[in-house]
Amino acid sequence: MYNKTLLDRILVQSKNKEQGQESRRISFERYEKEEFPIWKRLKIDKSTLPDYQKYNNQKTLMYRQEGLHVTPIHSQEVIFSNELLDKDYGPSIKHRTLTEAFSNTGTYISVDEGIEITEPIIIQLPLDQDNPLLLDHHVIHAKKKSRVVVVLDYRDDNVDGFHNGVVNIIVEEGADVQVIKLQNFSKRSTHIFSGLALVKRDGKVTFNSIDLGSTLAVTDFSTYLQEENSEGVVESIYLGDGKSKMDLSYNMYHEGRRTKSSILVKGALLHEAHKVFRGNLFFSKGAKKASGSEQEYVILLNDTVKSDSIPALMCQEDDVQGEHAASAGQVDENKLFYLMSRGLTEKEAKQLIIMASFTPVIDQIPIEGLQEMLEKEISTRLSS
Amino acid sequence: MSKLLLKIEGLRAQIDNKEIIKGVDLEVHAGEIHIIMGPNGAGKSTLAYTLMGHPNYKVLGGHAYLEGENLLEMKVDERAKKGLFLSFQYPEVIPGVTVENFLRTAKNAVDSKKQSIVAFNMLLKEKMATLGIDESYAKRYLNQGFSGGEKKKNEILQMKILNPKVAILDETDSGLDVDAIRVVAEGVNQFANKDNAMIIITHYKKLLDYIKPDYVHILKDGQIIQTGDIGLAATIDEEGFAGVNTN
Amino acid sequence: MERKRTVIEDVDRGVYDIKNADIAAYKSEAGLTEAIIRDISREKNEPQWMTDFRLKSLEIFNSKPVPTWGADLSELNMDDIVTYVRPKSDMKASWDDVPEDIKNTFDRLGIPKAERESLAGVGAQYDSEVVYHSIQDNLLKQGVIYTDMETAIREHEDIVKAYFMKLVRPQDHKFAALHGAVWSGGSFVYVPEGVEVKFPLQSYFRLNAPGAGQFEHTLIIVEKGASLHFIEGCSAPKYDVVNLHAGCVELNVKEGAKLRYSTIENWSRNMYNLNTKRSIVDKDGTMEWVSGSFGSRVSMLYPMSILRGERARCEFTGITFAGQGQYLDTGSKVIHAAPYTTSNINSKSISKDGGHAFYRGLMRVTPGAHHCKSTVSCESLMLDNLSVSDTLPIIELANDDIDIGHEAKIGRISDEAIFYLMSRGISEVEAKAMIVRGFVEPITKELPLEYAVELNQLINLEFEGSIG
Repeated sequence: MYNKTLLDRILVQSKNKEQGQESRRISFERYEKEEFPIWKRLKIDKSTLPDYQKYNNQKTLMYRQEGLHVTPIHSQEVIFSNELLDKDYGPSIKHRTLTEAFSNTGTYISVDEGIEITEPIIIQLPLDQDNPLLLDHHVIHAKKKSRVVVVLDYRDDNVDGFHNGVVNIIVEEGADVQVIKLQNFSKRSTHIFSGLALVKRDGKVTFNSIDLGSTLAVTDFSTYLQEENSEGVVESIYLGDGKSKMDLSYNMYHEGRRTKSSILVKGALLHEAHKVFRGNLFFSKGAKKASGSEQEYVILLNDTVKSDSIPALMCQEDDVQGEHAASAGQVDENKLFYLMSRGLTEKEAKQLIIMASFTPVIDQIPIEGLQEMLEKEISTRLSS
Repeated sequence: MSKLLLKIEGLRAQIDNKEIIKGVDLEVHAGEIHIIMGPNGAGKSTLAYTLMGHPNYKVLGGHAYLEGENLLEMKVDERAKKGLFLSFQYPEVIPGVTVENFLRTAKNAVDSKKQSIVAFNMLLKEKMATLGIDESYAKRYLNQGFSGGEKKKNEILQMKILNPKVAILDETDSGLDVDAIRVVAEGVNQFANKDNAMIIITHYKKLLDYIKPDYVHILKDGQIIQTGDIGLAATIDEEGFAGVNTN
Repeated sequence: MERKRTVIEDVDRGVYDIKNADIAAYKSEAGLTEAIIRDISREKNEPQWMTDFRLKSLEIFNSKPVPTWGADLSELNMDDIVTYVRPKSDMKASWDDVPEDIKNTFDRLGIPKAERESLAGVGAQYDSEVVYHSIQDNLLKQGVIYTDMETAIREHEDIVKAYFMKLVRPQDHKFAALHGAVWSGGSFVYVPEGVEVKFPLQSYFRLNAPGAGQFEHTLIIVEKGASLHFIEGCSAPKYDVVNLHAGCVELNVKEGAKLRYSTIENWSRNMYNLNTKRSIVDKDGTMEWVSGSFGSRVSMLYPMSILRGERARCEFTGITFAGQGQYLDTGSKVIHAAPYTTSNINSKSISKDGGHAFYRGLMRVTPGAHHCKSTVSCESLMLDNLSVSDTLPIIELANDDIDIGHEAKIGRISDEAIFYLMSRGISEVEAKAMIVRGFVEPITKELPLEYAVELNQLINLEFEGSIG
């Protein structure tokens, strides 16, 4: 299905500029060479892809502003540098290159030098009966000293959906980009997400991942702190329930001097949910005075959950500080007892404690109504 | 006049490419106690670190001599061996190294002779007793799990054992309650004699209830702008640093 | 502060490097064939079941690939390894009867002295065979068995047959299979119910022949309510050819029993140390590992504790010091397979002069193992930026009613700490050595005294190189 014929058809039909077409071809070549991965920990070794079809459901909510350019992907002479195409990132190269070659929607956002975009740009990408396949590819290019917040909102209409998304972020000198991925698919959809950020001198990228749904949720976000004083932040929350499987992988590559990174992951697991967390801090030789930390805290709510954590520190430079901390366990009995002694039901008390654990992450996310939505989700799932 | 121990001439120093000390002159003679006061960011700690030779502080100009020898050319440990001591505002925690082992190594280095463990332990025990430090602290890891007051007492203990010629106390009194300040002050008074000298950097006048300085200096914006006796400290206490005559 | 770099070609390891002439009584051909295996077994006069076991293991060995993760093993050519080297001495019960050169080796290593002063029994293995064994009379009277494995098979065949390679099976990985095929020497300890062995037993493994392999098997059974401290020491002189150590340690800790297993590996830097160690702990039993890895060119060593009885507990205290040309890949594995089990893992590593220290651990809680507690702490110190340090602890939880904490840190000696010590008159070199000694102190205090001294000397030696 995902072959040369399809690619040619897409290239003919789309209004892609030459450079966009070329990047699709390059990614296709790589796609053909790669194998589908075996996700051993999640016990998934087959990858059946749904047939290709168009996606016409993207909605972009934004305020027009001088210096902000938002267009469909490939319709611009977007710089798909070799750097973007060659970097190793994403949970599987096969899935990533699939979307790079065959994307059926996507946005190119570019912010001019010195421009601050005050309101978040919200991209809604819902799946429904007519649009069950989403292969979205977005590029965010923040030029010198610019600032932008982008929200990717993934939901579905309770269909058998398939989502495989790619986001590339280029953060130039002194720029600041925050990308928030909100994923609340039904238990019938699959969600695969590959993110890459290249951060230049004094730049900062923040990635927030909020994973609440889908039967299989795989997210891999790689931040390359390429130049001095650049910073990468990942703050993520997840809620796994039912039989959902989740693989969250966050990578920080410290290349420049005085680069900083932090990964904070908070989650709760119910029922037979299985989560795998991987946090990788790489310190390259020469990344002097770099510092990185990763923290993961998970609340386990049933004895049938599974939680794997693989935090890694890989270090080739001595003049750095790397730290990792993790903890896992049930809701603190004393806290539970205290709250219940004040008249809360066990469910209410648990909900409160889980929300309390999420708060440090939620506070950083400028989406209205997020707190209420999470409260509702947690409450619903604790009851089921 | 008694012997000149420390002589600082036109000292200028920077950290992170920013000049903090902008020409300091100071002479300290044997038997003297000097107080240096000044507002936040005046350069008090920078002056202390520069004299001790912290690698992050770069000397831009000027001189500093300890008993006529050029301090600024010496490595940090050589300065200590020559008789300079700095009581740190924030003493480092060194896990796994006991107070006893650390101090014995330091004492042997400073005195350039190996003292027997028994003799050293007797000295340590005696000095700890004078500061009211429990004996068990000798076996504890250096500053690990010490309260603020315990860390400062430990600094004074080190000073008493190493017996320097010039001791600089960098805000040793900050963050301490009245009782701890008194213990520190007593330690200082016990240590001070006609052969050594002290430079006490402080923020508060409280310490001066217990210590009688010979000179009080006001350091502001990297320079000593006024020198006086204890009366100067009283002025500051009432009027703040703004009240100091900068002309 | 000026930072100086130490360059030492190879550490002068003093007595460890004194080698004896290679005059073995019998040597098998290089490489591994069924004929060689049959030779070994015949030479040892083994029962048929053991010969069969060896041959089965060889089959498994041949069918398994060399692991591709972790260390680069491409230079390890199995055909070059002389798998079996028997020294020209039978086992003796008195040092006086041990040949002069072998005895001198152990003398230099301080074994007989330690035996007189602080040990309840000693075993000494030279290349593939145990040359000396002793045990205090009072322990013998209480039924404690401490002997070499060959004797154990002859005299306690039933026990050996019931436990031998049941915990580490040849199927587990290629080098476990190799071990099953060519194992030789090692120690067997049996502590009967309720017997407390007050002083440690110590086995010392010395590899002398160049290009040889050492495949000793250690099997320990501590029965209900009994206790034991066992010390294992390993070393070899430096040769230019590759040596291989693929030993196997199986520890059975029964109900309420306690076993402490201390190891110092200081193999020379031509050694591939691919050792497998495992313990299984019953109800209320305690397993304590104390492990120091300093030597070898490549180490892949992950002592595992399987906590299969309720309230079983284990502790792991380990230190790895990777210097020039070394790749030391080690870590602790714990399987919580029963409720109320606890584990406590404390690992430290130092890398220096281009050495590569890798912590690779596993902490697994199985579905039924509720009320488990585990803390894992990994700290890595890098002494220069030629070196590499990696930490990869894997945590797998299949249960909610647990309390798990993990932390890891990586970094170098802080300049502020060096400055603080130097401001008290301590030289830069001594300040650094002092901080490093302090870093490993929680480990050294768990080591037998002579090993603690050895470790501190090693650190001093590493720092002396940077003077001037």
